[in-house]
Amino acid sequence: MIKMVRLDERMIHGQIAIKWSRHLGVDRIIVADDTAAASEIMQKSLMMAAPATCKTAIVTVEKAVALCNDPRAENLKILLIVSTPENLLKVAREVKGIPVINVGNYGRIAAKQGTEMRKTYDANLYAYDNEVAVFKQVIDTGVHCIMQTTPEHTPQDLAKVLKL
Amino acid sequence: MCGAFRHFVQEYEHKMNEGEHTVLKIFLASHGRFASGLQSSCGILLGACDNLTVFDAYVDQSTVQEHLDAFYATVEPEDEVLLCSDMYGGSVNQVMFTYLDRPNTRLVAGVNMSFMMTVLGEDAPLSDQTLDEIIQDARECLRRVDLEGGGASSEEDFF
Repeated sequence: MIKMVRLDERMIHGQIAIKWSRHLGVDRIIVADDTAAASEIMQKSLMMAAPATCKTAIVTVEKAVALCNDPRAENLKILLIVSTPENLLKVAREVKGIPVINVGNYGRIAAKQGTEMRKTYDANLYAYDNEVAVFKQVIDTGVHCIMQTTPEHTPQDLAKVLKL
Repeated sequence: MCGAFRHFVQEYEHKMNEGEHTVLKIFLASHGRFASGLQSSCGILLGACDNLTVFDAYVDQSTVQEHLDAFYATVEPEDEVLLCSDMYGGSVNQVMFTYLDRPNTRLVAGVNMSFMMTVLGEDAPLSDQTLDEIIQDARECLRRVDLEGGGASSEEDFF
């Protein structure tokens, strides 16, 4: 089963490997990212950060959806990670049984889209208006959406953070 | 994943499960701002580290002795003290060495981020054996990294 879906542009890193994987008690991590899945070097660098206690797969978004919806996934405890709002929307719509979506770190990288700056919604969340529109669609899927960087942070309602 | 990191994960889980609150007080000092820099770096990953006191030596007129004495004034008799220095043989380490006759005090020289992250997740009592294991694991995190990285992702044998 899916324990959490996390949007995190750093994908697997300290907060994921140390904090969330233990806090959630997961035994599998899936990174759903077409770019990472296509790059051997990105995979190897992400695997350096993966906790030894979790079998980790770095796959395309399509493959990730298939893995999550496979009946055998029912007995696993999975943390599913995406790095973009678009991929988050795809998994929110297609993966069955997501208990919670957690928006962690997003928008710090590549702060400009042409001349448009990302708006700051939190110290760890920056987004263009068109990305906020995607987040709105994610929220509209009805899955519980929060923003919580580490388990020690108080979870905030994503819609409120984005002033939707 | 390097050993220190794995050890930290295990200890973190243990701490969460046991809810222990015995105090291990850590004092980290360095030449220049390495100490406060390590505090900043560990804080990004761990959140606030209340049991860590740092001192950057030689950036102003204050001395390691002054700061160590002020630190020891906050130490209770039942506390354990772990002194950490940036470099074995350095002058900061030499001063800290003279505090080794204090009760429940140990000194580790040449600390790195892996080491600090792990000990910051520890509680007293911390045995010499565990401390030595943490040091050994942290040494493994100082390493040449080649293109093999962390190996391949396990897509085929995922289930």
